[in-house]
Amino acid sequence: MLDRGKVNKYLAIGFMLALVACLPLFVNRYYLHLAIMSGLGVILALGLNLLYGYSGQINFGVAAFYAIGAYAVALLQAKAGLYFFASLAIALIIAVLVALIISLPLLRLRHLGLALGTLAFAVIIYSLACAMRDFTGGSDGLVVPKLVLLGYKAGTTFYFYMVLVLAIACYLACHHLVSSKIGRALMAIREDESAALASGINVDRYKRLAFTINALFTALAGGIYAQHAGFIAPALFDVHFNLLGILMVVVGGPSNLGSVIGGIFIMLLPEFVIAFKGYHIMAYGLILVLVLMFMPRGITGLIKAGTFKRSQTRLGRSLL
Amino acid sequence: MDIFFLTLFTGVCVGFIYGLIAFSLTAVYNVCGVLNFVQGECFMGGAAIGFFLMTQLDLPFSLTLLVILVATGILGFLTNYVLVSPLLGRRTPLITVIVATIGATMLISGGIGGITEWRWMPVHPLISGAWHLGSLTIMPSYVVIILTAVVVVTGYWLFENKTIYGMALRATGINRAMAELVGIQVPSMIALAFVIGSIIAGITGIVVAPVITPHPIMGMHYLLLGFISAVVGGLGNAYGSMIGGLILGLLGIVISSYVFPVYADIATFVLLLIVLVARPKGLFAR
Amino acid sequence: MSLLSVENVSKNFGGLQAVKKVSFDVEEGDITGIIGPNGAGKTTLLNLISGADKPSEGRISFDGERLVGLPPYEIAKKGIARTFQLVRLFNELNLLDNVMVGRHMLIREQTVQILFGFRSIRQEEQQNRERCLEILKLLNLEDRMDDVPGSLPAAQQRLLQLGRALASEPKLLLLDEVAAGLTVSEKQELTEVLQSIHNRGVTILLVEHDMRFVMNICQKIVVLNFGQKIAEGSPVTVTKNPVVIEAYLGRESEIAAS
Repeated sequence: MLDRGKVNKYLAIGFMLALVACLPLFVNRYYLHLAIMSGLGVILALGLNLLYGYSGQINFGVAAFYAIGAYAVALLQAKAGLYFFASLAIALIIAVLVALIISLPLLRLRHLGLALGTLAFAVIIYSLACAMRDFTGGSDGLVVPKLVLLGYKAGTTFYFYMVLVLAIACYLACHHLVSSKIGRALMAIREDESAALASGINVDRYKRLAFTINALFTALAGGIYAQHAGFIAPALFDVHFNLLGILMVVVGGPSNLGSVIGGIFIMLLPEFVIAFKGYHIMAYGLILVLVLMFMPRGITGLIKAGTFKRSQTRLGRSLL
Repeated sequence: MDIFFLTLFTGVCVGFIYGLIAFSLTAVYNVCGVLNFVQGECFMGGAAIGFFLMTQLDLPFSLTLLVILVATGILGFLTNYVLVSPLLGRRTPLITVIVATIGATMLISGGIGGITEWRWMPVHPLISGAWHLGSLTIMPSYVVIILTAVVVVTGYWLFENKTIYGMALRATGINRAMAELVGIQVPSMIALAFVIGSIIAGITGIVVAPVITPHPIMGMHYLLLGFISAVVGGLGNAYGSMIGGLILGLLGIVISSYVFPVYADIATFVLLLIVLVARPKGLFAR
Repeated sequence: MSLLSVENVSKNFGGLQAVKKVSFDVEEGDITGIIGPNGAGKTTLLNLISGADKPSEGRISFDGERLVGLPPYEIAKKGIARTFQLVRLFNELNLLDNVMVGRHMLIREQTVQILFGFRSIRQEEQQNRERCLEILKLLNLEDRMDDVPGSLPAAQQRLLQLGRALASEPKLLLLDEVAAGLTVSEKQELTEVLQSIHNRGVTILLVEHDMRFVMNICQKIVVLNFGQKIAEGSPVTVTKNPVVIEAYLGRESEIAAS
């Protein structure tokens, strides 16, 4: 029953994960921080990819739920005195509720209209964060109370492991989702909504599901970021942040593995281009253009380019 | 009362700025479905060239305008030739193509920013002094903006309806398959659209520069506002996007003046959401 | 009681009346055909039954239940499956997955079970996969099950659509011009496939253009012209009907030959 190839694949992955888990032993805090940001990027990209890569719905406003997650965690602790984990849980619930409400009108839009609608929502959240000074601290930002666990102040290493575990969990959840009837339904919606409807799929309901999971993952990433960084301000959630999200799924490729690669790549890219003093944005742009020109279907798209005639989505068969 | 008229006047001007950018975006979008973010940089580039040539080198406006026409035209052509058309040919999803243009945007604004060390690039008014109309004081630069918008729209209308190339371009925008059938070279039309759109954006840039303080990263900001105007006005309709711009401009200025400025953004985007949900195709879509 | 009952159904598009007060019944277990010249309103009628569009007036009932006003996925859940005239397939999914989408309603997988990767999900997937593979075998498509629809010739794309519709184990199958553009031998194959589906008890309502094909296979034929029903009855009766012949003016040779 056991497939030798599969066993080897799982062993390899397990080994790599074990290596990653040992990271805190080898690197200093700065690189751990990078690893944490990469992990958050992976979580964010996985959620966004569910909506964009699999369901075909453009979301140009990830900053909205990232901010909601971050501010909820920050405010619930700072103003309501709740503990971190409780705040995070409530933040997720808030994100889900907001997603359910906003998805009703939003998902009736298509293509560029949807892109703009989601962007509009993100800008509105950003503007509210700036405008409501008394509540959110406005453009000056908000300090997040430090987390104290069992008498010890939670440090970078703690957040690293937290993000690692959550990233793996999110990946597994997405992997299962995609290999199931839900994943198939989402892809059907992406390909042809009328045919999906005729096959008994409640298109609106599934779109909302994908949107809500996206919101959940994004808010999770935002909440952990807020706690780890210790300080948040609206500037972090501006228009450019939305772009980062889109870049992750486009550069990585429209699959779960693509999200992992894209998430890490986009989060780490600024580190590489810092070297080009003064011209780092130009370098960033140049790298982007080159990547997209030569790998228009993303990095994982290139790997699969040779097998284009066969299906790109062999459900449940491979980790890709 | 004077303040009211001035507010209105400013709102109309700002509206025309957004409208012009929206106009240039729609011209390209109609033909190939791509939202060319690089046109935001053409806008910024127009102002930047004005800064380099007029402010720093004291060269005359006519020369500057010529350089802008050539530079943005070439930029538009290159954007299409190197980036957009090859990607479209490989049947890349439109979002990816648009993201690629965003990458090119960073390339350009990053380049200009690096050169100017991220400093402001002020451009002096083309016509100095102020005009007085009764008790109102009007800056000539604002009038120039309005005139430019009128000239561009009229010129484009004449082009679309009275010249062979214009009519071919219009036909391609309406129905690409049919256009191909009657022998129109669609790739050339796309290239033409890119060049025209970029040039319009560049002209807008130099004309607007005296009125704002240009900065290397302003391209994206204006592009987004132009994009919103285009969507509000209806993406298929270039002239509608001009009206979309006016609505956006007026709304923004009015709310800025009579309510808190910080709510201007929120109001703009709430308006956008309402329009999108009520009429997903925009107000004047074809 | 008939399985499907269409009563006085009309559809207006602005000023155009695509369907005018059409009434007919489809008996369970039958293969019923809807024929008529181009523009007669056949596809529109199918769209009204499947829920892709709403009638301007009239009643449609299936198994005694009202269909009008229900969204397409609700109607599908009642046991009605359809194919589209202009093939609508899921281009980035392979053939097997295309058919699996059709089976969506029958697959029992709960969200929580999915998210936590319960074994039951894998089993459910496997069972349904096997069933869909059988359907592909029935249509002679199983050796291309990993390919994408785009790599199939038109006739086989039609069959794939049929396979997807069958996957939901429908009571009523709505087929829209499933034989259009097929060669004579392909039509023969299709006839055999439809017969075998029919023999399993599935009721079929097919919209078609090709008189001969329809006459070979249907127990009853409804004829539309300009949105109105002009004839109804057995194939022999209908083809001898002068009104029908007149509607198909210019096609007398086709009718006479059969």
